Amino acid sequence: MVYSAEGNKADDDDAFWQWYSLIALPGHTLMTLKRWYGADFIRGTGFDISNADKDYGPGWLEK
Amino acid sequence: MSAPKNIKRPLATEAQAIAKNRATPSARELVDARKALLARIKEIAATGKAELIVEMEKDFIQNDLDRYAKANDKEMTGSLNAALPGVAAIEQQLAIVDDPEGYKAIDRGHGLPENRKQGLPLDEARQSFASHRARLGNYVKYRLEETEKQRIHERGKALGIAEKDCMARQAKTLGSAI
Repeated sequence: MVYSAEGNKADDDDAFWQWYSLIALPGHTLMTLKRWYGADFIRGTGFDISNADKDYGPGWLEK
Repeated sequence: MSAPKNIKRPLATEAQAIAKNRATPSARELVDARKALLARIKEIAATGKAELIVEMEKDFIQNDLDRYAKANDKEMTGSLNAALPGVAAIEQQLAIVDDPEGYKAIDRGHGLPENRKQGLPLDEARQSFASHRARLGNYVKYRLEETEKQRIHERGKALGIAEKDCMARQAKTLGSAI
């Protein structure tokens, strides 16, 4: 699936986030996403959160 | 020990590596992503709606805040943290600017000529628009990439549009023409 910039235009949210979560994101990006969409969103989308665990310590999603 | 060689070849090698990098699919993807973002900024600005533009600016600030805090950039983090109350002040004023009863107190609280411009109160929203645009002017100096400078420029333009919307609504609520 090729999304790249097209991802921004995708009407299908699920497909977008599925594509988006294929890459392990930087911790600060996950922190921003948590701020915008909430912790449950991060949990539910299946992101690899290892970088954020490293940067902010385990439990950052609960804080 | 012989003198170190000059830096011409390492510099030229760096330039070649940059050129190689730009030709990769990932680099092109980044260019596309930035273009899409810029297009979205312009779309939001074109609505002329202060609320949408201010939400966009808040998203930019929060995104940058997490990034710079992680990079331990204290100057930028401090500046971005200082920006957030200004955005909150704009949001608060926008929530009452259309309400003649609610806005009356703000109007009366800005009676002095220095607190008014073109007859309209320079309320906390108007002050915050001005200070945040000044802040964006400083951010441009930090950015090396042309596309990022362009992005900040478009954010500033969008804020100008938002302030115009805000002024038009002030004028309507107070029953005066700009």
